[in-house]
Amino acid sequence: MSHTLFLAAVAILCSFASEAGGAEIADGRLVINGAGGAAYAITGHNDLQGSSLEGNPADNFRNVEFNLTLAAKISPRITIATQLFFDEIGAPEAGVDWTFVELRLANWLKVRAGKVKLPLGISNEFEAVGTLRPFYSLPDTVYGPTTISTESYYGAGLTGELFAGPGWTLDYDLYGGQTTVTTLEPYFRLTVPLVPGTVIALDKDNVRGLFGGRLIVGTPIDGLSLRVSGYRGALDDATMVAAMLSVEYAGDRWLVRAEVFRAAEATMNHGGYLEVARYLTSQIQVAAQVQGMRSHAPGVPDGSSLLWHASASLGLNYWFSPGMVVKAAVSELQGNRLAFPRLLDDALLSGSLSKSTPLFTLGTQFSF
Amino acid sequence: MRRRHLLALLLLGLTPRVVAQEPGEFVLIANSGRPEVALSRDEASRIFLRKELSWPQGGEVRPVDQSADLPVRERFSEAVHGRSAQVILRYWLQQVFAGRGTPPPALQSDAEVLEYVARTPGALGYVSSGTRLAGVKTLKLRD
Repeated sequence: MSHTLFLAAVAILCSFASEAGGAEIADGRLVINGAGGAAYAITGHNDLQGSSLEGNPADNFRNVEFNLTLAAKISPRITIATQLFFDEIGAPEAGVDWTFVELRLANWLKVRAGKVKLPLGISNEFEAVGTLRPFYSLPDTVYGPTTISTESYYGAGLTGELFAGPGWTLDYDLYGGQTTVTTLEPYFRLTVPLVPGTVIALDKDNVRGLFGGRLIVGTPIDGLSLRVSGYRGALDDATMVAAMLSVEYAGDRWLVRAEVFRAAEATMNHGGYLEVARYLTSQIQVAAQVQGMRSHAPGVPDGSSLLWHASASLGLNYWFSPGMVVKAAVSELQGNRLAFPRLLDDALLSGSLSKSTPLFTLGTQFSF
Repeated sequence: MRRRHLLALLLLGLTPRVVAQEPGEFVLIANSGRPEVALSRDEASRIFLRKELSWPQGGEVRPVDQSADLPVRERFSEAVHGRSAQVILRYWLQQVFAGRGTPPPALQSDAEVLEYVARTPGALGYVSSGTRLAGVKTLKLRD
């Protein structure tokens, strides 16, 4: 059975599930949840986020993924959690997103160790769950291969609720260890002699001596929360400092999210997005999103379109249940920071690099 | 006239909150071994969100929820958490996939909740008001 058929079968099963409780085994001591989806996108003449590097054609891509989360409650205060992923974004891949043990000493003090989800911004910890967002993918300026985003870290951390008063709450995370960030830096082609036929690779940079944290402020306005998060670590040739500010309003009908970030190492990246979604009925949701991003790199002319990205998107979603959705979106992307041709050197040499990239995405996502 | 008022409320989007906060639509129940006679809304909310693992008078608390598609879940959610069941479901999805916690088990009916609470030491649940209660104790819900 192909991955697509397998995931379609899983999606149909999941359309009957609307709970976040998943499946429970052994009187709730083992809890299993899953999330995934499948999408097809047409990107016009440019390649979005180097998708063709993983085996997709140059102007369209398929995305099929499934994530399985297991939580084993060893005792009321000790939990072992893991998330496995299976995806086919060009080529099939499987692995462990995270796996860690959590010891709950008090509600304000929980200790976690292992390969832990990185608590960054609003959505980094549940990137795998498409039913928690209005567009198929998370905003790529913040959560794409733009230096800042990384799924998990190896190490240990503390988390908990510091304060819960009338209307206000304050939650925190502190962590240390090491991680790997994925970067896509097409602009560095402007610092070397261009070679026809060259294909840019996604880079993975190790960040050692990682230290970071996050504060979440819950406000008396139901659903409104503020976050500040960031980390610092050492790359091979520079120190990296990343910081993010996030605002979220999540109500019954409205969802509003805005995040801005700044990440400095040898290159400086900054950007952000605003997205608004509203349920017109319990099943139909409309959404809009704008994004912007700018990089500054040594030796690269600041006016190059390879250094900036801007986009606007409109989406229409149909929710069969809270755990199953079909999403369609159209986007117009400007700039070549995240969208450029597979053979970038050839386009630069011939002067045919287009700054404009239309994008149409159709997909389905589920969770249980 | 009453219809007009209802229509006005509907247009203002206020109806779910008004309906959900009417008292007496669900009853909080606990295992009969518990000494507590009442819980505040905040205490109940924190227990059902698994932010609090113990009863106010000590001992492990084992909350049990009702299935998300049951009307009593919506009423409980609005009255205790001050948020719709849909918002609470999204909260749990975030918690689960961040590896931060798992929700209380969700059972399919008042009868199942009643049976679970009666046989499980430390259990806390809720059932539709009017449900015939046996083997459990009711708790008052304070503001």
